[in-house]
Amino acid sequence: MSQPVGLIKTADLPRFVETLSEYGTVCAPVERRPGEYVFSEIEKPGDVAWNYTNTLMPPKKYFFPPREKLLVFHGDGRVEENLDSTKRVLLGVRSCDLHALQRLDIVAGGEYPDPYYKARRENTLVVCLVCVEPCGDHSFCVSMGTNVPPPIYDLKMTPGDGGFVVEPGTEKGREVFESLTTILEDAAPPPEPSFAQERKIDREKVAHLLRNGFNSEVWEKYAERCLSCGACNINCPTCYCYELEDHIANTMDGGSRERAWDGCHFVDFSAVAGGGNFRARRRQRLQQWVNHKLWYFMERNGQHLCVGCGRCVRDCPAGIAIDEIVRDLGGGSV
Amino acid sequence: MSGKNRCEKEGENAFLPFEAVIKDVRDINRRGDTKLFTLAVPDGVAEKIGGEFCYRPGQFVEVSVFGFEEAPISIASSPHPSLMEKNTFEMCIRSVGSLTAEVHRKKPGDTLQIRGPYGRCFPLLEHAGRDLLFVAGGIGLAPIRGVIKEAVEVEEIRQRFGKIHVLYGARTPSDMVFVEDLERWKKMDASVLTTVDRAESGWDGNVGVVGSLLDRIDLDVKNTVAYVSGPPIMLRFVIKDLCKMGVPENQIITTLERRMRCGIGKCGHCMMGPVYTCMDGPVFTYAEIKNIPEAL
Repeated sequence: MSQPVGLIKTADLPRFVETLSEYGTVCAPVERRPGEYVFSEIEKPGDVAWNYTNTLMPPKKYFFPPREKLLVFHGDGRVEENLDSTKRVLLGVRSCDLHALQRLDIVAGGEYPDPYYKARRENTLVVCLVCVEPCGDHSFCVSMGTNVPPPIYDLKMTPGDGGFVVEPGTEKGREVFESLTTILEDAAPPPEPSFAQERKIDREKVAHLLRNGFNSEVWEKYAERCLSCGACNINCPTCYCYELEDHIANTMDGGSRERAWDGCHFVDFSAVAGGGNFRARRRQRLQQWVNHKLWYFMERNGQHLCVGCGRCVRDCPAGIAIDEIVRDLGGGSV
Repeated sequence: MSGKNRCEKEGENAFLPFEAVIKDVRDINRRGDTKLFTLAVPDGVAEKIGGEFCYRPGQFVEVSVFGFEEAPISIASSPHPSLMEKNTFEMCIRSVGSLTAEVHRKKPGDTLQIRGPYGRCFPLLEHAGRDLLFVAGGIGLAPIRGVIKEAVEVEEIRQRFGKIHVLYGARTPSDMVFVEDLERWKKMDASVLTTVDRAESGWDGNVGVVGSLLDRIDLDVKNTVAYVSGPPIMLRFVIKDLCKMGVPENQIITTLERRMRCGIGKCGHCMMGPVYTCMDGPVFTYAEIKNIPEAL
């Protein structure tokens, strides 16, 4: 049986978005300032930026919000779990961010599944928007093998002549695809995207380079410039570390246990009770970030945690680029 | 090494703690900043976590008081029926921050929120037939106290091992924890040596770091399994000495302290290289961590 596939004509995009909105609240890339895009709940189909370059922040916030209440505790001892079952459509997820989602699925799964992440994931319809050209000079997804979407999308849209070619990827996506038949026209499956990029990391060799370069002087050079600001933690689509915090309500009769994004660049990230700190030095923290992205996660899970989106390269106030560190460690070669 | 114990029922929210009742609280050093808490998991709660609160020495729990956050605390007891009542466990807690200060204000009958137990336990019985050496510094005696109690105090386990040595060091005599246990083990079939970094009046024992006690005992190094627990600096020196003496790297067992915030391999704080201290440890052999960045 051939895979279902259909064409949405550009003129039918509003109807397409309206049909999707029957599943849940539609969140999509929206142009906030000229050339700057954010994932946001849309007010009308026309808000969707169909040809956007990568958003300031990744869409991971819809599964793992910057801050969320896990438990609400009351003065009388009752404790409630605060699971989010909002139905959402996450429209226009780029391949890199979809790869990131697949990495986050690994982290949230395992022996102790994360019920908060899982609830959001199950209640969200993920619609991938395939890239057919590079989004800027900061990204290096081609070299990371992440420019082609992983097969975890519910629906996939590929820009083509006169509109977008739509294909379902999951059972959930297939059901929504069925509801689209009245606006879909016949189409052939699109070819896999292929484009070239300047920046690259040799994903086969990088873990080895980082292992060998653990004591390299190269790190000092970058650590001197690094501000430990954590911008590359906060805008990374795969950074998943968090802190757990308790908050007491102003009424003093209860409160909440919350989790908030944390980052390995922050000085107290590895501090323990009594004053010990296992990564007190800036270099150690920079190295932890890079090594986790391109060595440790691979060793543990068989995949790199870096998906080559290049947000860290784009936004580092000190001009540090992860691919340049790797190149330096390799003695100048890629 | 093997040995994991899990209580959680599948599908349970791993972030949701259960309530345990404090049965007993007592000072565990002369300074008065460290207390031993005995906790009981109520039957109703035990039902929900698989019928029994199962744990092994070496594992830890996340302890919390709502409003004061959580901290990983190692279990200081052994669940052996001759040592502890069913569904009870002990934790040794020093008051160093807002949570631990709040825990210290609790009295018998009060409750604490608990998640766990988490992590890998000590592989005591895997080494039956060997001699045992326990080296602890400061409050580092707490995580290995359960396994020492099993080895020294439980007759059918004691019979399965050769010589047992316990070496313990603290900053001052007032900082020594579990002095009663040390005295009891001395009277049982174990050799116990203690030392302090700084003597106080009335102390006529050894003065010096705990590693210096290694010179005072006669070890059959190839046949010895060494448990080392304490602050990072002490771990480094003692492990180095043990290696130099010839104790095999896979027979040196330690337990590492890290910021194990979630305990379930998610929050990232306790990572050392590709390893999660909370899930893959906190118990490791030296052979396992020797090549892990930042482990020691």
